[in-house]
Amino acid sequence: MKKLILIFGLFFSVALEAQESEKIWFVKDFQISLGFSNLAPNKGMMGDAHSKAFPEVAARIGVFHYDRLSVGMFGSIHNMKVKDRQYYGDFEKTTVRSIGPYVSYFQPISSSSLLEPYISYDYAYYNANFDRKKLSFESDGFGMGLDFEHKVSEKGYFILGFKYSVNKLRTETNPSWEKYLNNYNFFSVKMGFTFASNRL
Amino acid sequence: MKKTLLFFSLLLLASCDNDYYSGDERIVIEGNVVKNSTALARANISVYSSYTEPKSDVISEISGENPGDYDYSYNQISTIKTDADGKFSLSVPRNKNSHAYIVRIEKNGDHKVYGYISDYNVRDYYINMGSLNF
Repeated sequence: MKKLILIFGLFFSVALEAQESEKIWFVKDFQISLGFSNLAPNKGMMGDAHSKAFPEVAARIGVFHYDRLSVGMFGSIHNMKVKDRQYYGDFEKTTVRSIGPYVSYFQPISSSSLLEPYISYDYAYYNANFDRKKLSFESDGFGMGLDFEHKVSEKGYFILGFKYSVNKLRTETNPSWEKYLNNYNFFSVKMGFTFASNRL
Repeated sequence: MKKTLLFFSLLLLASCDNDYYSGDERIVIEGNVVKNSTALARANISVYSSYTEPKSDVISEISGENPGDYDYSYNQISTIKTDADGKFSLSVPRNKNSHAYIVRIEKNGDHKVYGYISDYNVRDYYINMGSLNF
């Protein structure tokens, strides 16, 4: 409890100091993007069973900003066609909805461009329907991504980005099959726009 | 009131036709199919949820002659073909409304049904059904 109070005290003192020096903001950026998902998946049930996904629609909002650091929430949705039903089951397509918090840090690389690496916790909810069958399941994941952002207006940035997600399905299964059935890692790429204040 | 009852009855009937699966558990099912002691390649293997409550761990052919022999869903949860050695391997998610599965083998218009895969014979989310005669 003492540690918690200490951490919060430290956080608020830093925030107060930052606010005084105009380095802290709230809800100052928003990003929306379209992209491909399920690219270069690992050898596993999910990767083997599904085709590449397009489009993946994603959005994120920065909630707390300290200097170049942002903490926020993201969400995304995409569909994947089932191409191999052997271990996945007799379904036609899978819808994936992801949500989670992220932490990012932007680094200007020129007067009009910047790089923004980020990490995220990815919770995903999957459902598949076919012939009066409905399947649902969940996964937890860790995401690492990098956005290239180019300024196109006072607050607008065109973005190109990629992300690698390492996921584990919340599935109980045979230990010998656990790795193949539960591990699901893949790349996604995106393009879109970020609207942000206080950057370049 | 009658209309409301009718609506809910229809809704209930409609929902009965659906099979609901959860990916929180997955069973791996393996086995092989033989005909006259020879491996049967490229036979269709389909797995269905069964609403019959099995009474033992024995896997045997289900004739279908007795009522309720295989009270099963008409929506297959998995389907594959046997390989050149007659072997098959697949996994199925947990059906939320039943605890048993049957395996239907089909080739050239003939078919046989084997069951039941259930808590009696699944160990650690895995079952090898052994050799199934076609």
